[in-house]
Amino acid sequence: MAFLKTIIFMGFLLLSAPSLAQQSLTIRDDGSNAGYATLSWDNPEKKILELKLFNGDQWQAVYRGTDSATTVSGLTNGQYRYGLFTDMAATPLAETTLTIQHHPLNRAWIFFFIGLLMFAALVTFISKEAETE
Amino acid sequence: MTPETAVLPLPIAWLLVALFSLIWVYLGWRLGRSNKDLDDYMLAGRKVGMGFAIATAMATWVTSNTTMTAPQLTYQLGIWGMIGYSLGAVGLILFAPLAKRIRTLMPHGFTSGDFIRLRYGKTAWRIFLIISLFYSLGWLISLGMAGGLLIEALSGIPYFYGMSVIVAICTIYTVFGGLKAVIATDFVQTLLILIGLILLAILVMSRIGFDDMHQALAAERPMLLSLLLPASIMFLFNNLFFGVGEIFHSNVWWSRAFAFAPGVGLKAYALAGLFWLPIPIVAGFIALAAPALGINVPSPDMVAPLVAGELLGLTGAILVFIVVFAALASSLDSVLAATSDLIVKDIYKGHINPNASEPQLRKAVVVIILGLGFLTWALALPRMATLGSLLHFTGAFVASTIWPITFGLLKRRGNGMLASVAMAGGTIGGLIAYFSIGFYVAALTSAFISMAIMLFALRQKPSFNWTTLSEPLTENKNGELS
Repeated sequence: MAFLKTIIFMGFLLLSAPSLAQQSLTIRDDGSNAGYATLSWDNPEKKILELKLFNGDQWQAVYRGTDSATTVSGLTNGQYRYGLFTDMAATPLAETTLTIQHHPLNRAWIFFFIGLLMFAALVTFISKEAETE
Repeated sequence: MTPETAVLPLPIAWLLVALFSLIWVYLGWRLGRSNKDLDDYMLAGRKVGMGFAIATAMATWVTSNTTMTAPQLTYQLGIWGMIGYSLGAVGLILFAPLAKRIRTLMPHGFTSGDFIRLRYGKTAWRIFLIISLFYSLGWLISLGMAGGLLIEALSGIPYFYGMSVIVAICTIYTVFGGLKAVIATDFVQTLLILIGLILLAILVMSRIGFDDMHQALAAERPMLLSLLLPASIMFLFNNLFFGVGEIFHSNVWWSRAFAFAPGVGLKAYALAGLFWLPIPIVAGFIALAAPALGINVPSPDMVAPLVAGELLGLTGAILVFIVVFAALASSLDSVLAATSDLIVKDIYKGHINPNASEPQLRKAVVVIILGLGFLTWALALPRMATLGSLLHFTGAFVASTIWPITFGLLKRRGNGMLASVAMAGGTIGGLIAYFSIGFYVAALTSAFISMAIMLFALRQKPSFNWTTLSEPLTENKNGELS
């Protein structure tokens, strides 16, 4: 009987919502070529959690509260190590590293000048008289 | 965001939803009573005057995408993101002379599909219909999503409820009133949007200084201030061509060109574009205040309502709610009406029942609006992407139509084969760019490939006869003209 109870209990544990101990920090809406990303984590019980960024020396707070995601943007090239913490904990529940590598500027200018030329062509085309019979 | 932490208390949020829902449905029902025939229902009798014409063009183009995606793109791509979004106005301005030409060339036209069929033949028409319907559905889903996100961000009401209510209300009043109701509600909604945005801008300027905003951005998100952010340099013309593609091909704008009284289209579209230009800048500017205020942004498309609510409290939250609800409704109803016209005229009558009588067509419009409303609701439920990325995915499709349509309206060169290859090739190229580089180059790549293919038309001899487009009304077996 005790064995059966243990099996049921373990099954319940497996089926229940992910606990903070199994926490993961994931990157979604990944715009790492444009300097932005959304970091998300599970927080079904709406506990207070802290997202911190490691600055090479220590962890610095980015967000503290009950939300389960945050969007970072406007980042320069580099590696950003984020950790998710419970209140007052010294070690993170989960970690992830976001690598920002912007598109090369020459690629950006190629698209810009293609756009500029095509725009000039479209305006010229529309402003000319239509072909008549 | 939960109801406990939200700026807008639940009872006020539901009261606002109920109040505006009642206003829109009442207007739809009242205006729908005067519709006598299909022309009245689908094209408001083809006699819309200047005031209503400017208001409907502007209100339809001030969508939830302007009020929510412009701030999202500012939050992700910085200063150029904000300016790039405002270049969407160019689409309206460039469409102005084309609207005049469309009205002259096709006095009996109903849809943009009519034009492609008569100008380029059936293969190009079918490719065009796939592109147009895909785009319309993407736009409808983004509008439904925006409604749910807005209500959730401000009041904590779960996304599912807010999205469901907004899609249902807009579907109901569009069914009741047809294009006449859509245009009249657009007029009221334009006034609400303009007054609301001006008040919001004044409130933001008076509560937070430029210095605080600049310091926070420079410290935490320096690339948002950089004019050399590569992705946003690419985005600038991409967004311009996305807007041009949306307007040039979509039946939302063609149906208005047919519905406006003769001589109205040119001025109405040009003025609407000029009035629209500063709106994304005002809306986008709000997003730049988020870092200075220490606001957490769980999803970038929620940034505008979150900042307004935090910065301006209950008054700001109510204002944002009214502005975005009006913007949403004015676009959702327009897309529903125009897409149902396209499906009825080009798919139901064009492919399934060519001899359909007017009552059958009228009934089909209602069924299709309801079906589209349901489909929008079902596809908006899973929140598949952010508003910005969903919308720009459709850019790969619509930008491929810019050159075939422009050539088709102004040149007698270019045939169906070339237009079909241009639309298909542009779309495929745009999608490759979307997945391999980013959403901010999809429309630009698509338009460029399409242009390169259409340039071969210049080597052909002018052969198209413009009178083909003024196809006279045909009589069906019941003796009705359509």
